[in-house]
Amino acid sequence: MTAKPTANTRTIGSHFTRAGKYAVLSFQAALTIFPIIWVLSNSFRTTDQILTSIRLVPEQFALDNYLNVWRMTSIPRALVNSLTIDIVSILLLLAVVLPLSFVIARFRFRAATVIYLFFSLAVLVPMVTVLPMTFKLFSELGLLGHKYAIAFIYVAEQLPLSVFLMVMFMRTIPSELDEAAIMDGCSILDLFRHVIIPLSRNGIVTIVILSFVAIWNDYLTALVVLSRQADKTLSVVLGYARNEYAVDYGMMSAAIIFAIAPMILIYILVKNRLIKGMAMGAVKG
Amino acid sequence: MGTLRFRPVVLLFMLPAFVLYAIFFVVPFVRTFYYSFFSWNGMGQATFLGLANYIRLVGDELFTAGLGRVTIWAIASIVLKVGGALVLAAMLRKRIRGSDFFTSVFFLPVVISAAAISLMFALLYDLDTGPFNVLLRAIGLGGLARNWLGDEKTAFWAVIAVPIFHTIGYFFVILLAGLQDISEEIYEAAEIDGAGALKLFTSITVPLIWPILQICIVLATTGALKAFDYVFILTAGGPGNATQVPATYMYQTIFVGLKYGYGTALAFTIFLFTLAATLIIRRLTSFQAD
Repeated sequence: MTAKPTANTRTIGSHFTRAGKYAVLSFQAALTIFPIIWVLSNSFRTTDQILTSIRLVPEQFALDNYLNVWRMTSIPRALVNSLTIDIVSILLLLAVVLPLSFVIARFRFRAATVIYLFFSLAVLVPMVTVLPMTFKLFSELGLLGHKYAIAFIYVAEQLPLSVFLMVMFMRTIPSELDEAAIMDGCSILDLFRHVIIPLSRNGIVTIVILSFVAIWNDYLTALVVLSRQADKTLSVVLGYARNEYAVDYGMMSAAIIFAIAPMILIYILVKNRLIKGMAMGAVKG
Repeated sequence: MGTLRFRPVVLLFMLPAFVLYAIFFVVPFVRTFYYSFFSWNGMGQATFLGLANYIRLVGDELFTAGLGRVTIWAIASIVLKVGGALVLAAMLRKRIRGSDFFTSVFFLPVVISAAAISLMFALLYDLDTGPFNVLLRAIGLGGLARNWLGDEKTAFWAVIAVPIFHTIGYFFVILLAGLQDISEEIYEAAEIDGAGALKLFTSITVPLIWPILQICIVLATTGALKAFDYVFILTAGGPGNATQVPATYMYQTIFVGLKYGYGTALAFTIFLFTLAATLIIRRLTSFQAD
C-alpha cells in the first residue's frame, strides 16, 4: 500500500524534472541563436527600421546592405584574402605534418618520443607571448610585405595539434602493411605515398577541417603580421568595422553575415567531424 | 611506437617540419625570454638590465590590475562556462528527443570567429538599438540603459560575457563526450538505491568526469589569462584602462610604445602565469582523480 504513493510522487517528480530539463535547454538554445538571427534580420533592414524596433523576421528581404558592403568596403577583398591565405597555409601544413607524423608513427627509434614532445611544446606557449618576436623576425627576414608569409606562423601554430592527431590516426594502420610493402621492394617514399597517405585520408580530412576553421578565425596573428592594407583578412577588417561604419547598423550586420556564412556552411556540412575533432584536440591540450 | 627500423632517410622526412617550427616558434620564443632582460626600442642597441623589467612589473599598476581582471575572468569562466556546460551536458547525457538539435545549436558559436562574435555583441550592447537597452526601456527600467562598453562600471563585465557566450558550446561537447563514456549501469544501480537526480549528479557524474572537468578548468583559466581578441576589438582596453588585460597591455607596450624589452617581459610573464596555472590546477584538483 505504501509503495503506490511513492511511485506516484516519483512519476510526478520525473515529469517535473523532464519539463525543467527542456526549459533550461530551450532557454540556452534560444539565448545562443537569438543574436545570430537578430543580426541576420537586421542585415536586410534599413537603419530607420533598426532604430525603431527589434525584429527577428525582417520587414523585407532587401539586399541593399549586402550590396553596400560588397561595393563600398574592403570586406570582399578580405574574404578572398582569408580564403587564399587559409588554403596556402593548409597545403604547407600538410606538406610538413604528413612526413613528420609518418616517421613518428611508423618507425621504431629512441628519439621518436623526444621529437614528439619537442613538437608538442608550443601547446604550452600562448601565441600572444611569441608574437612580438615573430613580428620582429618577419621584419628582419623581409617577410612583412608578403601576404602568404603568414602561413609559416600558422603552420608552426597548428603543428602540435596536427601532429598529435595525425600520429594517432597513422598508428591505427596495421604495421604488417609496412613490413609487407618493404619486402615487396617498396622504398620508404613509396610506402609513405602509396600506402600510408591513402589510408590516412580520414585523419587528413579532420586536420584540414580543424586547421581551416582555426586559421579562418584567427585575429591576433593577422592583425600583427599583415601590414599591407590590401592583405588584411576578414577578422582584422571586421575588427576595424566598428570604427569605420559604426553608425550603419544594417551594413555592420551584413558584414558579420558575410564573415560567418562560410563557417556556418562548413559546420552544416561536417558538423560531427568538427565536433569530434575539437573535443579530441582539447583532451590533448 | 612504430615497427620500422630507423634509417637516415627519415631525417629528411622530418626536416621541413623541424626547420619551420624552429624558425617560427622556437626562435621567437627564446628571443622573447632573452630580450625580457634588456631595454630595447626594437631597432638600435639593447641595454642589459638584469631583472629590472620583472621587478618593474610587480609595481606596475596597469599590469597588476590587468592580472586581477583576468583572474576574475578565469573564475567567471570556470563557474559560468565550465559549470554551465557541465549542467547542459548532464541534461543531455542520456539521448532525449531533440538531443542532436540542442548539441548543434550549443556548438554553433564555436565555429564563428572571435572578431565576428565581438562585433555582434557590440551591436547587442548598442545604446540605441541594442536589445539589452531596448528591453530595459520596455520594462520601465530605462534609467539603467547605458552604453555597456563605454561605461567604466560595466565595460569589463560586458566584455567577459562575450567569451562565455562564444565558447560554452566547446566545453559542452568535451564534457558530453566524456559523460557518454560513463557506463549506464552505474547510474541504474544508483537509481535502484534510491538516488535522486541531484545525488546522481554529485556522486556519480562529477567524480567520474573529473579528469575531463580538470582539463576544462585548465583551458578556461589559460584562455582568460592570455585573452586578447575580445578586449582589443570591443574596448581596446578602455574606457580609460577599465578593461586592460595583460595581453592588450603588452600589445600597447610593444607596438604602440615600442618598448620591446619591457613588452617581452610582459609577454613572457603571461606565459609563466598560464604555465603556473596549468600546473597548480592539475595539482590542486587531482585529489579525486586517484
